[in-house]
Amino acid sequence: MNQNPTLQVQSVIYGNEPESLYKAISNLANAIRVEREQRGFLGQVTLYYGDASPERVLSEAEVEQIRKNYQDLFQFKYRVFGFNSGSAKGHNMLGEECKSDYMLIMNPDVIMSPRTLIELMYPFLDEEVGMVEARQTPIEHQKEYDGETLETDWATTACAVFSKALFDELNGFDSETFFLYCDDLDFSWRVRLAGYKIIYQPLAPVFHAKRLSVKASWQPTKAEQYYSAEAALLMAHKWSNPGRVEQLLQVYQNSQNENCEKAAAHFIELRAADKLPEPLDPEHRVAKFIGDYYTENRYIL
Amino acid sequence: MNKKEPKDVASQLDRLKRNLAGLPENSALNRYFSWLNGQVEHKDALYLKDYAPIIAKEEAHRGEGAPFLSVITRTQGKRPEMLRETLLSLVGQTDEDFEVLLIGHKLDQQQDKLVQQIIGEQPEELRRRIRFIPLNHGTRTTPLNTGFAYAHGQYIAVLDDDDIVFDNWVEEFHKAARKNPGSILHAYVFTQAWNTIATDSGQFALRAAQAPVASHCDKFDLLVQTRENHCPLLSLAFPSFYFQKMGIMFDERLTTTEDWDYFMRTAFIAGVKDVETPTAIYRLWTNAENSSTLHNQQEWAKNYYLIQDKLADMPILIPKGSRKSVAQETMNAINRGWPYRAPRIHTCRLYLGYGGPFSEEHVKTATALSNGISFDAQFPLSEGEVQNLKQIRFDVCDEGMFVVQNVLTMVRYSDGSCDYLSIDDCRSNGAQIQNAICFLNMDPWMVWEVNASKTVQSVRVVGETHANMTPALVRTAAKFLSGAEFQLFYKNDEHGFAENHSKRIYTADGAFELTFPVGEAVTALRLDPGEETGCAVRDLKLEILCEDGKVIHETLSGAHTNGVKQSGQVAFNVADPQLIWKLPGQKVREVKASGTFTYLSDDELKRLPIRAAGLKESVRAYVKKERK
Repeated sequence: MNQNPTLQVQSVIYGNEPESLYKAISNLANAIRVEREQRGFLGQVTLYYGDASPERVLSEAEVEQIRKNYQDLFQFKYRVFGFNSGSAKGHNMLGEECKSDYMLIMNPDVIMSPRTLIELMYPFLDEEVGMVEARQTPIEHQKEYDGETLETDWATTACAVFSKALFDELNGFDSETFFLYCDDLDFSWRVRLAGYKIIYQPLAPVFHAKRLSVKASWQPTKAEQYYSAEAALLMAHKWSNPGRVEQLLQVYQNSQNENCEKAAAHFIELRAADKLPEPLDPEHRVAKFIGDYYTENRYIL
Repeated sequence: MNKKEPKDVASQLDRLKRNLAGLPENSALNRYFSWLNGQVEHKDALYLKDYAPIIAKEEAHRGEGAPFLSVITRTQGKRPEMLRETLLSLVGQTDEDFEVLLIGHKLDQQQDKLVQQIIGEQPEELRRRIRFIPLNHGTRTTPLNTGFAYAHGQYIAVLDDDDIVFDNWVEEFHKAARKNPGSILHAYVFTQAWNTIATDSGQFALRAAQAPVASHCDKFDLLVQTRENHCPLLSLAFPSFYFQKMGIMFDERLTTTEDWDYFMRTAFIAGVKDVETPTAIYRLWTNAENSSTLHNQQEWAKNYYLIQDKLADMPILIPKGSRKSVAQETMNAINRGWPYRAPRIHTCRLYLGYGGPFSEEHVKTATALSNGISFDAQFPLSEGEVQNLKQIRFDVCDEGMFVVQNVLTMVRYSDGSCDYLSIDDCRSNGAQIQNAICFLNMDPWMVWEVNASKTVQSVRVVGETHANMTPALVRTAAKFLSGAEFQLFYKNDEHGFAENHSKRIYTADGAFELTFPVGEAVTALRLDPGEETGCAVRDLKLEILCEDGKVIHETLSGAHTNGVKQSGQVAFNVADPQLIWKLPGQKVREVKASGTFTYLSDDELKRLPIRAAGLKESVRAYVKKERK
């Protein structure tokens, strides 16, 4: 590892409220300040926003103001994509231009805690570590991780970091297959197939504003329903679980849920046109399918 | 009501003065007014001394320009990762119209440094809204009073340093306060089990153990709330008026449930408005220090009854609609056979023990105050009765097949002190299941030791009973009662076998493996397998672990006993079964006893030879040997 590795923090934004972006930015700035005061390990930090919105969220004047306000802490870049790239492609576009040693993928509304950058980088002292994920709060992700080694089966990119070299080695996210969901799961499994470990860092909480219903359950939107159904089919296919593919198709086609039916239909079209990705990991060295989940869970939400 | 009449307080008071002229002095309404005036005019001495000056000093910062909400966070600097996360959840708020009063309670130098570091780490937008207030005295309740006194906000909420809130916590309180100014606001809250995990760096990371549960997502019910607290403190926001103007403060005598007490006393005056949206997570720590680990069951029970006594003395305004739901609930309970099947407990008995068996010669009776669910029995004692008093036995009634719970026994001494004893401190002929005792048989009793070096003045026993004997409960109790409570006594040159130099462990019948901590020099051990006749112990092995690392092994063959030694076992056909071993006198750390315990059948019992001298003969021989 370089003595003072550089870091590119990147987010793909789509119609986000400017206030929530400002809050994320100011807390990133604070995390950089605390990292410098308490550890001083990181070198130059870049914050790169890729705007996939139909109309740009931040004006040029606002971008310039942010650059000025934080020029002592990080370099700020802002790129308007001009189309709805989705998460995977958007991050690939930002990652291709990345000249930093490390990339931190972050949801644009995530608020870092002051010590996030310190705690996320520590595990990389172990050269076998490929990716480190922050702990989301107030609703922690349910997946299991080893309480001693902190190893986990996959990392969400709500806030996760890996090296640029690894990103290049794996050709980034699979944007051909995944639009919005499971791009991080697929990437994680390819990190592990390449022989690296994934670490869940509970000492790096990040605030991700999510809410539950009065019955303590999720309330997914229609778009979320469609894209997660589509991603589930693609994951099952790409990671060599044809039985699961057929099971999901049957469930979705009989679900009487318009979004699930649409997802099933789209998958069948792709299959017919031979446009599905090449399956990986036929022996399931890494891929895990446990019911509707891809790892053991501490609890089900 | 005429809708055109103004509803502001001044106008209402004017109208009341006109409309109620001539109201009889003894009417319930006038007595309520009198009580209300008393609340405001006769403020607590501690409030006047410690908090009124702070309120006055901070007054200039209140009113226009002041934040909507003051958030009080108590910390002892012992849970830095939790405090960091609590503050992070405040950073995430959608509504930033709040200040944070971080009360550092009894921080030592290192803890203070750590808390200052954590404040320094915060982003400037939060840091400038944090006021750090060091506090070096008082109970866990004192920081709350201090925070309420220092608060500038129109409303005050408490967010302890181990809980977290959603991004809408302040926003929802603010919206509700605009529509219902002056009411206490009650939002919905989830509970979630969490634990801490040690990391290589020495810090304790936090880990969610279970999914959030919608355990506190119900509307506020005043009458239910008088019996049990359903509203964690972080679900509430209080108008500052009731503390800062009316002088209603937290009761610093309470070491637990101080929030429930304060909430009820304020709710009776302010009323409560529900915010039917989940806004926070109340974390239950499975392996970290928290109020349930720091305070034992008797402390909880003591505080519970203190609060119940206080609430009983207060007149309350029942909100519109409550009476109907209470009436319905009572009918439902009656239809389920409760409370009318609770045992009759009008007369309780207190037996006085002076070292020997309890007898009818030394018993007092009391008519218990009872509402069919809870009871309250008081026994003043005379001078003659308290000489050499060592134990008390409380018989709540004569019947069986009921459960007694939340028992608190208050033993008052002539020097003004008081022992608060709970179920955990007693022996009984029932089956203890968590904080309750299930009595299957008639003549139920509970026995407590009293402080024999002091003079008892009175005994008061309070508790609750119910007769909801489900089949599962009966089976659990029966299984429990089929065993025995083993008691290991240890003596040395300074004392003989005595209750306060013994340990008790219950075991069901069958194979047992018990470990008794000792921690003293021991010249003899005595193991009593229960108190009843008709039992047997087989294949008993003792492993006596000494402080110097030596291990002494003993078996039944080496024991003196008042039972009958047979091949591989000792059978007892006398009450108070005993097994005694002599030891060289070194310090013993613990004794492990393993073997099998059973009750004998009638036939087996009949076949045992009668030993008229019993243990006395064996002890005489043993004592004779020792004196030689």
